[in-house]
Amino acid sequence: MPSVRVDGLRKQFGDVVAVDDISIEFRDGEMTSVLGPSGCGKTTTLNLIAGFVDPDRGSIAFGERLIADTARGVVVPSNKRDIGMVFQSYALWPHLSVADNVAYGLKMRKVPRAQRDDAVGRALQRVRLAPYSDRFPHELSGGQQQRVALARAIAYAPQILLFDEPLSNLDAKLREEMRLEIKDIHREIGITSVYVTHDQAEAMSLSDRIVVMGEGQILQVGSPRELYEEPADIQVARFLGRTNLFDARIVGQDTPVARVKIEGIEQVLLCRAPKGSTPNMRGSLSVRPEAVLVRPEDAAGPGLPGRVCAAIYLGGISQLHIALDIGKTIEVQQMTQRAWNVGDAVSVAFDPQRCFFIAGGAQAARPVS
Amino acid sequence: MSPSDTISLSLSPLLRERKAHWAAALTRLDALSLVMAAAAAALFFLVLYPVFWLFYGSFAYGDQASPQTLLREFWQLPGLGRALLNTLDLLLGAVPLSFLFALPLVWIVTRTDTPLKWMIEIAAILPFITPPLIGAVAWALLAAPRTGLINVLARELGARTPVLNIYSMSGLIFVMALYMSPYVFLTVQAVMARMDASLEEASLISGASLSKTVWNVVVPLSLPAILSGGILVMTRVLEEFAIPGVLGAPSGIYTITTYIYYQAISYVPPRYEVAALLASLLMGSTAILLGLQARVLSGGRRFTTVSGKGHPARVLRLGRWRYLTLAYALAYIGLTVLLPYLVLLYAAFISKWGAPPVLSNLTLANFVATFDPQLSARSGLLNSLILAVSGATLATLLTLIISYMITQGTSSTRTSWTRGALDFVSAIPLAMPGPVIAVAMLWAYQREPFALYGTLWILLVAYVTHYLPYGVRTITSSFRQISGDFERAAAVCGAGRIAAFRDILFPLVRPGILAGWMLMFISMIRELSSSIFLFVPGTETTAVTMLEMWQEARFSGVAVLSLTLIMISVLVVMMVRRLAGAAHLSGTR
Repeated sequence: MPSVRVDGLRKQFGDVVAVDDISIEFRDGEMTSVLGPSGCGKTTTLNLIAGFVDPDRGSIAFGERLIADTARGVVVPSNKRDIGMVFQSYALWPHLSVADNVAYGLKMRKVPRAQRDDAVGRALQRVRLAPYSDRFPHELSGGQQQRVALARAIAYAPQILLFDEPLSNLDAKLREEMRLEIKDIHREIGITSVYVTHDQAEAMSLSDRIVVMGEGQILQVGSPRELYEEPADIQVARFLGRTNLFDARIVGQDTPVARVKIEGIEQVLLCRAPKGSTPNMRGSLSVRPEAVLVRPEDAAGPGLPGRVCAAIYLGGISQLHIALDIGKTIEVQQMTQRAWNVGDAVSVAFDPQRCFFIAGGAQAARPVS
Repeated sequence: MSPSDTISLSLSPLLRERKAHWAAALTRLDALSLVMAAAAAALFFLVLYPVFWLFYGSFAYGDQASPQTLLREFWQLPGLGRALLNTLDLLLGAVPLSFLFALPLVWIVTRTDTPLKWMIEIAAILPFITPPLIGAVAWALLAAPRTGLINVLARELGARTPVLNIYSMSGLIFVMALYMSPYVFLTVQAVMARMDASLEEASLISGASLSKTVWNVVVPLSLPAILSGGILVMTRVLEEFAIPGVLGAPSGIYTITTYIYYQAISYVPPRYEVAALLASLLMGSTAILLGLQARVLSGGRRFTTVSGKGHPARVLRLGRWRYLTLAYALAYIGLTVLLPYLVLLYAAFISKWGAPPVLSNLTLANFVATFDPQLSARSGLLNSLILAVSGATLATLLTLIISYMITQGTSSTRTSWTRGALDFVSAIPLAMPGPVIAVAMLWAYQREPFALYGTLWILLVAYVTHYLPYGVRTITSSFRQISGDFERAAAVCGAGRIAAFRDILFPLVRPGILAGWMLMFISMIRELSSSIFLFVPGTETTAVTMLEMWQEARFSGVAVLSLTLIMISVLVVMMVRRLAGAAHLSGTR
């Protein structure tokens, strides 16, 4: 399986720069998600890879094979790229049966009848829809339709598989099932895949690596764990899970641990910091809701004083909003151990292992919504 | 992650092979692009070349040196002022009257519990299907002062003078309004049927009386539809040729369309410049009205209340009054459908005009006589069939490609500018009524390098030009219902543009293509208003023969041809429905 390499890719629509000079490699055999809010350029990136949109600048290569390069005037049309794609709208052709839909790519590749039937059967087997091969798309449920679309995309064993928010038209429960199914199928066939989504849970559960995009640029690339635990950018920190951000300044460095100071707090706090952090560096301290320890006001040990202003019981876990005396409200999530009531005076502490310093970005003071 | 500046770009054999692939793809792409460029060129030529000559012709009129003398000369044309006034009279009479006919029907169908509502709903659009020529002929057979059946009957009963005279301005207005009312019915009914009843209920709950509710809520909400229906009827009245031709011309009542024909083109020698000037005038007014209608409709979109959501209005229980509303509906159906068709059947099968319709007086001889090989009706019918089949087919092919270019394609080679131009140019013939098309054809195709006059070709070109907007409208709307993802999914699977069109798009738009073909076929087989200008002996069409026979008072022949036309139309509709139905079964939602 080839990798997908994108180099210096740029695409502009009118005055809007949809994709702004991005370079990235989608690794061989991996499932890579491209994650970001709407309008971040992720769909355009996918359309550029699929060939639905021609780049203004830059190149795309599948392994050794050049797919598009503005410098050389090369643009391979979509139908010659040997890709499979699963669309958000499913895009199953309504006048063709399930089997004919799945067989279409094989027909275009002039695969002989017998082999074609075999491949269609195998693809439908894989998505557990073999008994439905004679049905028409409108006779299937949304989830079944999307599985047919997946079967259609893998039936002819393309080199690259593209997903354009394939699950966003399904309800929550079905979405989770399909996630697992897509992950299983990917593990079986090990095809280089690019998966565009705005749903961080989907990206985290599916992918080997995640590319986070914002305003046409790549903000960070990494494994789900890296992105969650060591976000390089406050936008990444905000987009992957929830977090509390404080304006902070490094006062002492002891890699990988740093000591930071937050406006209005006497104590020096400990946190993890990225390589290359130096004393006096300014930035944001990201404190994940589950990194906050809440204790009664009179408990022993250091802590910041505050007051519970909202308490939401969610079964195994509870969510609290705590107004700190320094004038900031933070979000807390913890295993339900004791009941907190609105108005309770508390003392909070942060787990240094789960706090991370993000360099730059002065907008941290904005309250977490 | 590192920028992939390390990609090796050596021209490996693999890569070279790919290059060959692209070359192949390029040539294939060019074949399709060539077809599209040819279609666009054909469209631009078909529409713009005659329009150019029409405008050129209207400036060629009279003494161009001085606009004042030109204008004076123009106004002094005998009978022109009268014809323009007649047109105005016709508009002022027929437009309100068509509303008077149609609005009660809309109310009956959407808001009352009148019995047989479903039947009334179908019957209300039947006059729509009857060609105006046939309607006019039927009404002349019924109410011509001397020979009209109603007057014959009245004479038998002792009347001294004719009770009805259809060959008058009021007769003209009456028949015109009858056949225009379906346009009003369709536009207003569409809005009324979808209007959310909770809007009216909210008004009633707020304390407004029923009449206040109607005035404050129902009327303003349906106003865009009413206005747009009104404008549509105005354009139809302006461009109508058959009704004033059959009912007005015999007694010297000309409107703008019949004036162009009788006083400019059929004049000896023909006054082509006058015709061009009048045709341009007519085209200008139609264009203005259509522009106005588009504005009214887009303004109407502000009323998002008419969204198809909500629940339908509560039906008014009429009690015993519902028989009155039923009677009204039946009277309407009687006047528009029943009486005209009965009189046509009578005329087609009766052996002697005026004889009572008993079995011994019925005969098939009229059919034999009408289709006598020596007479033009036979060749006329053949001409009409040839023209309608080939015209509808050519126009469908052309508009299919044009519609594809207007709606489809993600490729950046076709900018929105080209789409806009194609869309606009293909809509121009909408502002060109039959006589305008004909006059433009006479200017454009009577001279080198395209001297088509005197052949069937000029009729074919006229038909294709005249009706191509119908094809573009129908086929673009069915393309627009197809998600672009369908074509993209085909491309991803490896299908080139041609394969994607053949396997995916074409089957999906097939019902739209069939509908467009049908619409154009039916319009062409009955075409009168431009054919009458363009035929020469030997290239008569059925409608032209009918008008000729009418002028020779061969009523039974006209009736036979009317029934034949209707039969052909009904057969074609049934056939196309069968074909489209089969497409539907194969899975199109």
